[in-house]
This record gives sequence, C-alpha cells and structure tokens, in this order.
Amino acid sequence: MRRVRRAVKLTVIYAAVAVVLVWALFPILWIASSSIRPQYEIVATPLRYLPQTITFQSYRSAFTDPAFMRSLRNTVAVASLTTLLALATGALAAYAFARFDFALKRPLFLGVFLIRMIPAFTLAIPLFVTMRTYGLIDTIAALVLTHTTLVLPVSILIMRTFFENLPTAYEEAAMMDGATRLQAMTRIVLPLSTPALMVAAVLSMISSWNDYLFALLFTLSKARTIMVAIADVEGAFYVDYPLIVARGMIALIPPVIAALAFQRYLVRGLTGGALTQ
Amino acid sequence: MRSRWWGHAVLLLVTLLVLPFLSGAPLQAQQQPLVLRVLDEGPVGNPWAKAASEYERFTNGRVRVEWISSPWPGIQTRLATTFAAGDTSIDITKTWGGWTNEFWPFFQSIDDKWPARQRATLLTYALHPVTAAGHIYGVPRHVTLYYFYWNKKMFQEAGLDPTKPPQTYEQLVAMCTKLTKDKDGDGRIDQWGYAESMDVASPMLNTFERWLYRAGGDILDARGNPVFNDRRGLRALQAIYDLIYTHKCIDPGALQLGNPATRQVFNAGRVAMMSMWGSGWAEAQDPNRASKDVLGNVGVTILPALDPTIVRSATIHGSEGYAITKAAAQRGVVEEAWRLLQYMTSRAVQLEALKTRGYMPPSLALYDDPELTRDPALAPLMAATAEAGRHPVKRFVWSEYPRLEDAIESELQAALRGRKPLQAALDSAATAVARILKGP
Amino acid sequence: MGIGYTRRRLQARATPFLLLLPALALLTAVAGYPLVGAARISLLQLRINTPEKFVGLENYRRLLSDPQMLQSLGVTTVFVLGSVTAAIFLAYLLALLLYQDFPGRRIVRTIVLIPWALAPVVNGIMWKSMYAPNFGPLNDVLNRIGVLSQSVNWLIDYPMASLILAYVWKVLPFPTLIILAGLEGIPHELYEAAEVDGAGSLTRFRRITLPLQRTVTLLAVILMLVDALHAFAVVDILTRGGPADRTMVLNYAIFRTAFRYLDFGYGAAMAFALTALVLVLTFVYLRAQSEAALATAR
Repeated sequence: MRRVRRAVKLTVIYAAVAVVLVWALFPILWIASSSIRPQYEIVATPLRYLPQTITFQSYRSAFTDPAFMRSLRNTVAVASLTTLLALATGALAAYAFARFDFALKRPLFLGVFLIRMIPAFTLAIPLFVTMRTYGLIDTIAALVLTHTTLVLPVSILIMRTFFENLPTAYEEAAMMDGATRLQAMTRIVLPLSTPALMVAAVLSMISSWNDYLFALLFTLSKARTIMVAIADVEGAFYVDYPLIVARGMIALIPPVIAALAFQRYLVRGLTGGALTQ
Repeated sequence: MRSRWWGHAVLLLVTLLVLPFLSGAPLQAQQQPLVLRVLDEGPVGNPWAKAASEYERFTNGRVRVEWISSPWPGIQTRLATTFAAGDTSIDITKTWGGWTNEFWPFFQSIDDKWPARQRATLLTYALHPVTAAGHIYGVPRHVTLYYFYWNKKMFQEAGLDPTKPPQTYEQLVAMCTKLTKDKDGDGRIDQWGYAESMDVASPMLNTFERWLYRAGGDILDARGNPVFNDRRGLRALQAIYDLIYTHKCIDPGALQLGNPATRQVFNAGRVAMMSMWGSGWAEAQDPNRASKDVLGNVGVTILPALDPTIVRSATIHGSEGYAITKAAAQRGVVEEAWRLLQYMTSRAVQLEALKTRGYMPPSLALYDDPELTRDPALAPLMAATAEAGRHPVKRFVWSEYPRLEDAIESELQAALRGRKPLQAALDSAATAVARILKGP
Repeated sequence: MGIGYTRRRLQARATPFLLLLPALALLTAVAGYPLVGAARISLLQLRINTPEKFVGLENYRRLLSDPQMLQSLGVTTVFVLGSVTAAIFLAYLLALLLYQDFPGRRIVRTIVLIPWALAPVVNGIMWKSMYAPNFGPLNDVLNRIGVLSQSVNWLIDYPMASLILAYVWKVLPFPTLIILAGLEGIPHELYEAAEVDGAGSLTRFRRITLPLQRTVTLLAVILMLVDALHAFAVVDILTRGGPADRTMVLNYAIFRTAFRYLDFGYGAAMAFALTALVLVLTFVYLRAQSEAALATAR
C-alpha cells in the first residue's frame, strides 16, 4: 500500500516536473534554435522546431568580432568588480544594521532601500553629469560604481536578514577572548554566512551583467558591455535576428554558470533557514 | 588593536576612491592620433562603419575613428543625455528628419562648407531631413522610401501575370484576395496576399502617411493645423481597414509586426506582396534570409495608387545622414569631421551600401550610371526609385515628432483594432495633435 | 578610568557608523547626490531646446491634471498587482514542488533558475518571437494541441496578460527561491506532530506552512513589487505601452516623457510621484501585515 502511494506521489511529482521543465526551457530552446538556422526558417510554414539547415555562422561572427569580445571582457570585469564591491561594503553595512542599535537606524535603512525604489531614468542624467565631472565616462569604473549602488540595497537586506538569524554567542565568545568587532565579524560571522554572501553575490552579478540603460549611456566604445553589443545589431533598416539571438545566448552563459555553481547555497542563503521563527 | 580596525575602514574607503582611477584610463593619454567619435548603429552590416575604418588607413593613422555604436532607438536616448548634460563626447552623429528637428541647436551648420552647386548633385528630397530652420545640418548618406514588392512565383501559382503588379487599389484588392490561401486545408490561412508594417515601433504612422498622401491628404496644412481627419484621411484609413477586415487579405497579425518581421514573413514565403524600404530588396536576394521559393522571384515597383485620378503613387521620401555636433566645433575638429564625412558619403561607399544592403544612394548621377542601371540585381530597384521620385512628397517631420507620432498612432491602433469608429479615432487624434502643437 | 570608559563608549557608539560608512558614502555619492539633482530638475521647465526655467511645483500640478497620468496609474496598478499575484502564486506552486523529495531534485532546482539569468532585453526579444501572430510558437502549439482553432494576436488583443506572462516567466525563480528557503526553514517535527494528530496535507499547509511563511511571503512580495514597478525592457520591446496606451505603465511613461519627448522636468516629477507611490504602498502593506500578525498572535 505504502509503495503504491509513493509511486502515485512520484508520478504526480514527475508530471508536475515535466510541466515546469517545458515552462522554463521551451522559450529558451526556441530562440536557441533560431540562432543556428537561416532567418527564413524561423517563420516557415509549417513551423518546425528543429532546424532543417544548421549554421553556426552567427556564433562564428560573434566570436570573431573583436568589439564583441571586448564587450564580453568588459562585462566580466564590471560584473565581478561590482560583486566584490557590493559584498564588501554591503556586508559591513548589513552587519551594522543587524547587530547594533544606533540613532537613525530605521530612517537610514529605509533611506538605503529608497534608492532601490527610484526609477533608474531619473538618475540617468544627473548621474551622467556627475560621472562626467569625474572623467569617468566610458570607463569600467563608472559602471561598477553605478551598478554597486543599484544592487547594494537588496544585498544589504539579504545579508542583514541572515546575520540577524545567527546566534550572537560565537561573536561574544570571540570578543571575550580579545577579538575586535571587525575580527569577530570577518573571522566568525562571515564564514558562517557563506550562503547569504553567495546569494548577494549571484544577485549582484546577474543585475550588473544584465544592465542595459547605464551601459548604453555611460560608455562610448572602450567600456562598452555585452548588453549594448547585443542590442546594437538592431538598425533602422537592417536587423540580423539570428545574430542578436546568438549574442543573447552567449550572454546567458556566464550568469547561468554563476547561478548553477552557487545553486546549493541559494536557498539556505536567503534566510539562514530561520526566517520563520 | 584599536588602530587596526580603523585601518580597515580607511583602507576600504581609499580603495573606493582609487578604484575609478585604476580601471579608467585617462582619455588624454590617447591624444596622439586625432580622434573623431561617431555615434551610429553597430558595425554589423553597416557599410559606413567599414568606410570609417578604411578612412583611418587612408590617413595613415593620423585620424582615428571611434565608433560609438547604439541600437537605433538607443541613439536618441544617448543624444538626449549627452546634449542635456552639456557633454562633448560625440563629434558626428547619425541623424534623420526627426532628430535633426529635435537636436539642431546642438549641431553645427555646414552651409558654408557645402556650396549650393555641390548640393545640387543630390536628390532634392535627400536634403530635407538634414535641414532645419533654413540651415543644412547634415550630409545625407542614403535616401529612404517605400517600394512595392511582389512574389512572382506566387502570382503564377494563383494564375496572375507575374509581370504585372497592381497599379491601383482595386487591382491590389483583387490580387490580394486571390493570393490569400489555405494551402494545406487545415482551416487556417497560411499564405496572405499582402503585408505592411502596422506595429508602433516601425512606425505605423508611416503606413498611414503613405495611404494619406495617395489620397491627396496631408498631416498638417500650410498653417500647421492638423487636417488628417478630413475625408481624405478617412479614405486612407478606410483603405487599410478594408484590406484587413473586409477583404481579409492582410493578416490582422500585421498590427504587431514591425518592418523586420514583415520582411521575414515575405522572405519566408508566407506573404505574396508587401510595402517595404529598400532593404526588402537586399534581403530578398540574400540566401541566408530568403527561402528558395522567394530567392530570385521578387519584383519591385512603386506603390499602387489609391485613386489614379488623384495621384499615380506616393511614398514617404526621406533620408538618413550624419551631422557634426557643436562639440566638434568646440574641440576644433569640424574640418576633420567634414573630411571624414565626405569620404563616408563618397561614390564608392554609396555603391557598396547599395549593393550589400539596398541603401539607395542620394547622388543623382548614380541613377543614370549604366554600370548600375544594367545590373540585373540592382536595375529594378534603381528604376523604381527614379520612378517614385516623379511623385515626390515631403515627409512629415516636426520638432515634436515623437509626441505627435505617439498621439496619432494610439488612435490609429484603436481604429484598426476595431475598437473605435475610424472617423472618431481620426478626430481625437487631430484634437490631440492640435493640443500638442499649441504647447503646454 | 573615567576617560577610558568614555572613550570605549564613544568607540562603541561610533562602530555602527563606521561600518556603514563605505556603503553610505557610495550610495550618497552615486545615488544621493544625483537624486538631489533630479529633484531640482523636477522643479524646472527643462526641455532640450529651450533655456531652463524655474517653475516651482508647476510640474507636479500638471501631473494632477494630466489624464494620461491617471490612465497610466490604472495600468500600473493592474500590471503590478497582476504580476506580483501571479508570481507569488506560481512561486508557491513551484516551491512546494521543489520542496518535495524526489530523485533528480537538484537538477530540476537548477534548471528552474535559468530564466532568472536571462537578460531582460533578450527576454523581450524572445517573447516577441513567442507571441508572433500565426507563425509564433505559442499560437502554433496551441493550434496543434487543439486549444485554439484560430491564431490569436496576443500583443494586440491581450496586451496586458501577455506582458505579465513574459515578465513573470523571467522573474519567477527569485520569489520561488525565497519561498523555498522559507519552506525549508520550517522544522519537520511540526509536520510530523500534525500528521500524528491526523491533519491532512491541506490542513497542514493551511495551519502550519502559511502562518509560518508570513515573513517570507512579505519579503518576496516587497521585492517583487519594487521590481515590477521598474519593469522596462519587456514593455519597451513587446508593446511600447500600446496598443492605445493600454500597457503604458508609469515607469515606461517616465522614460517616454524624459527621453522620447525630451521633457526632462516633467519626467523627473513623474518619477518622484512614482517613488512616493511605491513608498506609500510599501508602508501600507507593511502596516497591514504587522497588524494582521498582531491579530493572529493574540
């Protein structure tokens, strides 16, 4: 009886899993197939889901385009620097919010979150002026600073939640033994918080990687990132659809690898498993 | 111990402050060759980007061209930000009528550089989109107009004469209906008679304009008042509406198809006729883009008349070109920019753009060049362009173009979705336009 | 002793601020300062071709009498409520599935994350192709399995639903992760005890899971809310606010006013109005939630 029940349950689960896989993968596989076939096949009658003629021309031309490869390298640099900076500054701030009581704590926290609520366009022009004043237009730094600011609020929120749920006993013991606050934090709290740091890292990395607006406005040609390189294939009279999609597929690889590599931390990291006290 | 953690905080701050300077190479370091910065679409399939890098070689590295590529809609966003912030990072930008009208105060007039005699070697309508407030602000790189394309093989299959495209609206309707078929008998139509872009992005206003001009109407009258809701405007809109809903030979899906998608369906052999830019011709010759049944089976001509007693044909004539910015003048590189533009719009580059992507040259002389008019891959397009030039219409542009475009399109969409009577939609669009023109 | 004591206290007081310093310095420099700039712009008549002019609160006054603003507000409400509700609901279903123990769970959990990594720009391009009329895969599949007999013009006839689907598809993994994290945090003993007491799985879900998930749901809702209000690329590529402004969400209207119509002053005023709206909504929601929490606690 029990065996039968388990079998039924598994059948239901796998049916649901099948639905979920189709949901998550079908659209992506569809455009992936569009990227390896001639353009006319994408709208052929009757519609075919597997390419009749396979051509890797779009991928070849993407990988042999030095401007595209440079944009790929730039994006890697921007996304990783953003992630590091957001983690470093965010962890300190989150720790302060989680472990201390101080004047203006609530307004400061709300203020940080407020920044996430402002539509990005509002900041675009004044921020452009600021970046220009510092001579940062068309530098990786301009994007790193902007992206860090955009991802900090959510990173702080996630890390704070996690820190709050960690018992304070370890830090107190360490400080009894003569460690400073910062030592207690870096040597005890941070190692215990790896999952939360990973979540913040993946989130920061993905948002930075996928930013289009600031990448478009703050770069000319040297610091151009991959999102602009995907989009700029679109001209008023000329659109190479398979090439756009191929570039989009290439751009998908690094964030997916990041998400996959840290997948096992992601769930634990969001709450430390104790959000629901 | 105490000083240690102060140290950490200071270190972080210093890192924060220094980081920008580490990764951002100062611009001054590369002043050796003269740098000209050009804002345009990406270099993929862009003959002018290729020409610009040839020019670098041509000057033996004295001039370096930095290509700032943006997707087409991103160029406007970039220009707006750059000019609003008083930035000087763009020397030359791509422009068309809409942008010239919006941004001309930031462009450098080139009246004095360009003698009238030299300008007269171009098609007259090529100059309108680079002219604002009586001054010339740009050099046209190609002219833009719509053509009529038909698939000869499908004509044959439907028992129509493949050498005779429709010349009037009645012929268009008759052929269009005949060419709309359910070939596999599953109850769904898989070959449509006709297509033209009605998606907002493409924009749909252009489609309405082409019919409006053929009905003898106009968007604004000579005093600048909206008149597109008169009986001629209604007739134009009715013509489109009827093709979709009365004759049922345009796929209603056209309402969500832009120009690129319209080319896709035509070149995949799903549609027998279309109205399209010159790029439609280039793509129909490209084996990567056109299916076997389409390749080599396409004809091109001028748009059919709505009513031959009014006008034989009308399209929207325009051009795209390059403008030199005031920033270039501040940097003292106008002369150099001008030289680069002359190279980029030279005869050789115009030819390359025509042959590879169907960009029509602005130079009059090329239309009589036997090398081109005898080339079977180009002759039909050249002939259609020359023919369309005999029915010139100045395309509607205004400094508030985007706002007007959105206001009109919003109502046209409501009408063509069948949500609003045609006249009512035109009337509310006209009211909205009048309000915008009056200013806030 | 007195001096050392004061010093240590001072130091203890200064510690949180020192920890906050790097983050706050960055936020102030990169966002705070331009924010003041934007606030200033919202008080100006600033168009690209005319000299700037100080107009006080005129732009905000104009907001109140702008019929498009009201319509846009309605559209935004539908989009945000629709996406957040759909995202949270689907995230629960998905999380409950991924919470089950079955062979291959790790792989499925991983695959489900992929849409999250897709760039919004590519997501837009992808759904535009999915929704294509009669030659799009969505129409094709629905026709083949017999759900539809004619093709549907998704972006014209059901623009809002299509937009929400494309948007939710992409963001779904994030709330799913949050909710899944919450589910994993519930001690197994609670369920086992309830099972011993004879509670069915539905009862267990209602009596144990949902109440314990309150904080988690709250977090997911707020993050989704903020994200949905800022949705841009998907609107820009799929509908551009159309047809006939039926999907003109405020964030897109702001972009259009500032960067398409080049009316920077008014655009900035719209943005601040939107921000105020988000703040009020978040506040009301948090308030309602904490009152509900108090009520259940009693």
